[in-house]
Amino acid sequence: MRAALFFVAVSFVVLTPGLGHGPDAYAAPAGEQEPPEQHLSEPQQDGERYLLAQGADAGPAASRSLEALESFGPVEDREPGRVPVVVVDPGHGGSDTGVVGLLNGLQEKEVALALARTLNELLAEEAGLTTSLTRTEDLDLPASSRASFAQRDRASAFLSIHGGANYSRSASGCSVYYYGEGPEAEQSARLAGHMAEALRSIAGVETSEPLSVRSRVLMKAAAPGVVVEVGRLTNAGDEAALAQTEHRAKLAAAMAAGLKRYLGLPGGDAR
Amino acid sequence: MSGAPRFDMLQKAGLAVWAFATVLLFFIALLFAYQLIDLGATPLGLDEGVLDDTENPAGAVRGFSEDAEEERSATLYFAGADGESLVAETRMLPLTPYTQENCRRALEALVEGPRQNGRYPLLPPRVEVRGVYLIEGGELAVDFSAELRYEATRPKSHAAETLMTYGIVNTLTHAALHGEDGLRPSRVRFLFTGLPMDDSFPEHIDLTAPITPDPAWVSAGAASFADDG
Repeated sequence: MRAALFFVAVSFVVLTPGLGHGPDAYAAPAGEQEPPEQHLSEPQQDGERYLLAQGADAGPAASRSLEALESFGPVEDREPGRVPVVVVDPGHGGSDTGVVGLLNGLQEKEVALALARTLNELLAEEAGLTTSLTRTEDLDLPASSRASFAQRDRASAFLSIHGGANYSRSASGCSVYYYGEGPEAEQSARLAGHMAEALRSIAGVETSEPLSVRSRVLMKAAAPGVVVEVGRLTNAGDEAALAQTEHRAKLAAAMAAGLKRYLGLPGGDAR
Repeated sequence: MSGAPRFDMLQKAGLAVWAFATVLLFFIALLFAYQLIDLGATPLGLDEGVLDDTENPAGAVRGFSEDAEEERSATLYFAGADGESLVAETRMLPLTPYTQENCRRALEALVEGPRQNGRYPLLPPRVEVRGVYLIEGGELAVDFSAELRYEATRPKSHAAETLMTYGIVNTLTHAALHGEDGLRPSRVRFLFTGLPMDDSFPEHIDLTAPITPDPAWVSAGAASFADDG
């Protein structure tokens, strides 16, 4: 009996196609195969893990209008004399791969981590800012733990890096989001404006106007913050670009420039 | 070699094979469960929730005459090709004098998907509307089946989840669905298998509180939404 069960189970697994998550979009063509996994080449580093509990906060739906925030002047100094702290959050990680690219199986968690490391180097070594990464390795981290970094470090800016995914595979480009309610709404909108402006300086990359969303991580961050979706992994062109070190370097430079503009630091021009 | 040691060796070998097969079977069972979850099923029935009668959804208004139904124009919002806006689709739906029933029918039309080009479905085709409840103060609660969470092809991003949210909310609070009962939904609470949304779903957007409509996500902007609504 046990042997019979064993052979039935083996037959099921062998004969059932498509173990694991398939590609995106409800209207995906039938019979489409799962793309091969593609990994970025950056070395893994050991890092600290912080798991501080943080309560949730919820409010009514926010407007995405930026009309009242047309002038993007330097941010007010929150604590005069203190070197600004920037917290960079590579989205997803561990068992949560995020979006998997349709072309080559590029994983959102790897793109986010690679970009965060490059951005961290630019901010710390070239701009002299104090920076903190919410994760420096491939691990699971809930939104509340990510947000707790910003609270712990009394961050001047919080930047969460993600890949994008859309219902339409033709949609491409970068997006910047902020949370338009609460005490950090105005500064977050300013930061989002600077970030979008800096990303638009990259040739061939479209960046839409910043939008307000009810982002879990931003609602809990208690600091001026944005989410940047650096390209749509549901779009073949964006996935191919994000797999290139050179393209990711441009994105990191643009994000660094946006942060420096927001903080009123010199060198706020993307290269 | 005598018979007893040979039997002993055979017994040990048999036990080893049995142990190996048991371990292998365990891992195969795990793979099987993972596959079921990936396909949207619930192997242990843990996500069935308190109500699972999708054949007879809760909140459906009964007892009114079919003569009271009439084909009326409703506005449904689907994802646009740019990935960051909603595009309206006007469709004739059999609507009733009851707002709650009209909202349920509009939600099922959203699940069915768009009929016009340039629009993309916001909800997985296999998701079921378990119930629609219009409660005090204009709050409309909508309850989805487990497929909403476990559909592997559901786009997961801030943009996609926000579009799904406001596509539903803007559709269900639209004036075209108002019945003769004077009830007017002003915000939507999302339920999942009969339970409130928690911190783990959806992945990026917070839906623990009721959501009010936001015309800013509609493609032609706030003006057209206000005119329609």
